[in-house]
Amino acid sequence: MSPDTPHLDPIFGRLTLDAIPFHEPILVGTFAVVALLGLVAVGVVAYFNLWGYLWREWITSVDHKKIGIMYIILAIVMLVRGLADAVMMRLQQAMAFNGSDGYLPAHHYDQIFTAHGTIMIFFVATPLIVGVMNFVVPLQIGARDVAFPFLNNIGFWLTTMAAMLVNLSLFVGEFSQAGWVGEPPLSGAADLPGVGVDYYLWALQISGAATIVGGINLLATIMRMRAPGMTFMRMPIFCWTSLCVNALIVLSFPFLTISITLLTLDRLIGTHFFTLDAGGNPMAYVNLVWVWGHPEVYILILPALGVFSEFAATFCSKRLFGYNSMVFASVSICVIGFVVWVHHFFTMGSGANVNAFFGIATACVAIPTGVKVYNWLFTMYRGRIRFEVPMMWTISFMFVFLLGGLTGVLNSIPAADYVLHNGMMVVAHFHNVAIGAITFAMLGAIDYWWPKAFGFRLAPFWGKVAVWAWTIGFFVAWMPIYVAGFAGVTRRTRVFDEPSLQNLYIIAAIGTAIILVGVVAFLIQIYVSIMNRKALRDVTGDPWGGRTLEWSIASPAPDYNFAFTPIVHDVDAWADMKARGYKRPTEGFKAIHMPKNTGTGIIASILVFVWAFAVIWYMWWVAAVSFVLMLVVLIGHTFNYDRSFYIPEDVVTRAENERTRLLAQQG
Amino acid sequence: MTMASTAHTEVKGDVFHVTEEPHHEGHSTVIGFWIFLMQDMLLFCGLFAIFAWLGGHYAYGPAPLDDGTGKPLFHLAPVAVNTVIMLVSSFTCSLGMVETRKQNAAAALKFFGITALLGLAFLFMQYRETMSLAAVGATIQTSAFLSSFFVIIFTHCLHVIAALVWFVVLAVQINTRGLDDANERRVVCFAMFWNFLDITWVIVFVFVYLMGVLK
Amino acid sequence: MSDHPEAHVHEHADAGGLGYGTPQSYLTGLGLAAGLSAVALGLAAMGNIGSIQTTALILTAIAIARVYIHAVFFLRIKGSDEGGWTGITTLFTLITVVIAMVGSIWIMLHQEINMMPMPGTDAFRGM
Repeated sequence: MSPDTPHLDPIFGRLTLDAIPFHEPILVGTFAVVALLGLVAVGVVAYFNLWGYLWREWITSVDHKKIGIMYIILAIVMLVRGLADAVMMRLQQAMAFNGSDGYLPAHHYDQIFTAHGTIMIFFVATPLIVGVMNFVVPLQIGARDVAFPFLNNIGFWLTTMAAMLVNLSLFVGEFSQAGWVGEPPLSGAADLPGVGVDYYLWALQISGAATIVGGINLLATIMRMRAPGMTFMRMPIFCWTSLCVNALIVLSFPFLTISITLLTLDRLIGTHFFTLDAGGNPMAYVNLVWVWGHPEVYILILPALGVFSEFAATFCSKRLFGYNSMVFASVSICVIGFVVWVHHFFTMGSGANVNAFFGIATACVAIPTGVKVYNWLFTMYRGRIRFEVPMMWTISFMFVFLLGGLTGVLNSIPAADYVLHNGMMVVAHFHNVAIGAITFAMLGAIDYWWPKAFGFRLAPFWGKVAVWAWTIGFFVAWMPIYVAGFAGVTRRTRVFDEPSLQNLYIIAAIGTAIILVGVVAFLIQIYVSIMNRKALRDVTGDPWGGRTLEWSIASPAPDYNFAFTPIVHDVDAWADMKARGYKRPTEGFKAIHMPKNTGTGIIASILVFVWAFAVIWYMWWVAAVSFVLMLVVLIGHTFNYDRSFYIPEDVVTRAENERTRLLAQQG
Repeated sequence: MTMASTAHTEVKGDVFHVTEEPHHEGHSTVIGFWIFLMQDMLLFCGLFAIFAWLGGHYAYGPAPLDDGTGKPLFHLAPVAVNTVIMLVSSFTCSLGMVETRKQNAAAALKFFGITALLGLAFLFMQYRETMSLAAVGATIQTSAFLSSFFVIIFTHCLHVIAALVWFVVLAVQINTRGLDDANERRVVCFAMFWNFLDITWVIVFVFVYLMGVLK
Repeated sequence: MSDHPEAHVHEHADAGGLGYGTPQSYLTGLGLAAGLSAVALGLAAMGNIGSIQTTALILTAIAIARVYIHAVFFLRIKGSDEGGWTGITTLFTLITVVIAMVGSIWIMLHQEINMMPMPGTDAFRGM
C-alpha cells in the first residue's frame, strides 16, 4: 500500500460513500441511462419469462457458436461506451481554444482517453476477433466444437466480468488516468494512489488470463481437430491467420501479465520495480509491456486480414490468389511482429544502433502486408465481383488500411519518430489501421456470418449506408488529425494554445458525427433485419455461394454442426465438393457426442469479479472469502466427470430432414 | 483407438463424409497443457528479464555477496539442499508415472505423495530463507534487486503450492474413481507440471543464486 | 483392464513418452543431474575458473544440460510427441524467450549507457 494509507475499514477497506460521484452531472446522467436500460432489459426478460431459456441456452452454453455470438454482443455494448468516450474527447478538443477550458476538467479527460483506449482494445477489438474466431474456426475445419469447451465458457465470462469492472469504475471510484498502457511512474503508487489504476490493472489481468486460455483453446483445436484430409495447406486462410493469432496470444500475453503484476505489486506492497527510488526503473515496464504490446496489435489485425481473404475469394467467385504466399505472409507478420517493439519508445534513450535495428525491422512488416494486398487485388482481377456488403467493406478497407500502413512505415523511421512520437501522427496512424482493418473487417464479418448464426440475412441497404458513412466519416475525422500530426501537435491534449488548429478539430468532430451515423446505420440494419427475418430467411445455408465448410450446413447452424464429419480433398473444401457434384447424405444419421453445459463458468467469474473489486478497495476479508469460494467452485468442477452427452439419433434425423425439405423447396 | 490429429487420414476419391466419427474427448488435453506450460515458461522469462535489468540495483542495501554487514546474503548450503530436494522429487514423480502406466494406483499415489512431501520441505526451506533475509533487513520492499529476486522465488513457490493443492485433489479423485482415462490424463499433466517446476528451479538456482555469488 | 496391460499401455501412446522408462534409466538421470548440480555449486562456491565470464558460460552450459536431462530422462519427451506439436511449440517458445531476453538486455545496456542513472543504483552514487 502507498506509504500514507488512510485508515482501512475492516469490511469496506478504503471504500466510502465519497467514491460515488454524486456531484458529477455527466456521470449521474450516464448512470440514470444505464440503470434505465438495465431495468428495461430485465423487464423484457421477466415479461417473456426468458430466465430459464437464457440460463440453459446462453449463459451456461459451451457451444462455440453461442460463445462467439456472446463475445460479439459484449464487444458491441462496449463499443457504445468507447465511442461515447471518443465523442466526448472530440467535443472537448473542438471547443478548447482561445482561452476556453472546454467542459472536461483534466482528471476527467485523462480518465476518458485512458478508458477509450483500454475499452477499444481489450473489450471491443479483442472480443470481436475472439468471437469471430470462436464461431468460425471449428466450422471451417469441420469440427463440432473447440478442444476445451468449458474453458471457452469461463474465458468469455471472465472477459465480461473484466469489462464490468471497467464499467463499474465509472460509478464507484474512478478509472486510471495513465493512458491505455499505464506506464509508470505516472501509474505508480506515488503519482496515482487512488483506485483508478487498480481498476485498470485488475481488468487487464482478468481479461488477459481469459485471452491466454482462449489462445490455448483455439491452438489445440486447430492442431488436433481438423477434419480428415484437411492438411494445413488445405485449411482456409482465416484458420491460418487464427493459428498465427493464437500462437501470438500464447507467446506474448505472459509479458503483459508480468508487467501489470509487477506494477500491481509496486502499488500494493511497495516493491521497487518501476519506482523512481531504491533502484527501480520505469523503463523496465515500458520495455516489457511493449514486448507484449506490439504482438498485441498484430493479434488484432491478423484475423481482420484473414476475414478479408475469405471475402475476396467468395465475392469474386474465385479461389484466393496465391494461397501459399498468403500463408507465408501471415506467418512472417507473426514473426516480424515480435522483433519490432522498440518502435513504441524510440525516443527513450536506447541509442542509434538499437533504434536502427528495430526501425528497419518495423519497416520490413510492410513486405508481407504488401504481399497480402497484392494477393487480394489479383483475386479480384478477372473475378466475378458481387458487391454485397462484405465486399464493399473489403474495397473500403483496401484504401483505408493501405493509407494507415504507409503512415506506419513513415513512423517506423527513428529520425522521423523523434518528431512524431507522442504526437497526433501516431494517433492518426493507429486509428487508421484499427478502423480500416479491424472495425471494417468485424462489421463485415458480422454481416457475412450472420445468416449462419441466425438463419436469416441482414438487409443490405443499411449495411451499405454503414459502409459509406464509416468510410467518409473516417476520412473527414482523421485527415485533419494527420495534418495536426504533421504540425507537431501532441496527443492527449485537452486545451490548445494555437488557435489555427481549431478548424482541424472541428472538422474531426464532424467526421466523428458521420462515423456515428455509420454505427447507428449498423444497429438499424440489425433491428430492421430482425423485424423482417422471415423475408430474409436463408434457406439453403449457402447465401453467398461460399467456398468453405461452414456453408455446407444449414442456417442457423445446428448444435452439432456436421451430421457427419466431412472429409476434405482440396483447399476451399465446400467449393470443391460443389464442383464435384457432391450429394448430401439424407439418411443413416447417428447419435452425436457433445459437451454438456455448465454453470461453473459464470459462477466462478462472478466470484473473480467480487475478489478483484475487494482487492482494489482493500477489502481484505471479502477478498479472502471470495478467493476461497472461487477455488472451491473451480476445484469442485473438476470432481464432475460427467461432461458430455449424446444428441439422440432422432433429433439429428429430424433436423437433417428439415434441411432436406428446405433444400428441396429451393429446387 | 489412438486418435492423433485426424487430418492425417488421406481418403482419395469422392468420399466426402466419414463413416466412423473421430472421438476427440480428452485427446487435446496433453498438448493443451503443454502449451499452458510454454506460456508459464514465458511468464518466468519475463521475470528473469526484469531480474536481468534490475538485479544489479542494490539501492546501497543488501547484495548477494554483502548483506550490509560484510557477510554474504546468499548462502549456498540451503540452495544446494533445495536443489537436491527438487531433483529427488522429480525422480519420485517419474517413478509415480511408471506406476500410473502400470495402473497401480496405490503405488503411484505413494510416489506422488513423497513428491508432495518433498515439495512441502522445499517450501519450508524457502520460508526459512525469506525469514533469515528479512532478519538482516532484506525484504521484497528494500530495493529493486530484492523485489525482482523475491518475485521470482515467490512465483516459483506459488506454483509449488498450486501443485501441492493439485496433488491433494488428485489423490482424492484417484481414491474414489481409480485410474481411469480422465484421471490418467490428469496425472500426466501433474507430472509435466512438477518436472517443469524443477526445470524452472534449475534456472533460478543457476542464474539467480550461482551467478549472484560469482566474485 | 489388468488382463491386457500391454494393450492398455499402447492406447495411451499419444500422451507422450511419460512413464515409459525403466527405474535404472531414471536413476541414471538422477545421477547425472546431481553430478552436474554439484559441479555448478562447487564452481560458484570455490571461486572462478579464469574470469567471471568463463565461469558464467560454464554455469549456463550446465543449466542447459540439466534441463536437457530432465526433458529426456524424466519427462521422456520426443520431438514426435503429439504429432510433433510439443516440439514446435517448444521451439517457438524458446525463440520468443531468446528474442525477449536478448532484446531486453541489449536495450537495457544501451539505456544504462545513454540515460541518467536511476536513484538507488551505484552509477547514481558515482555521479
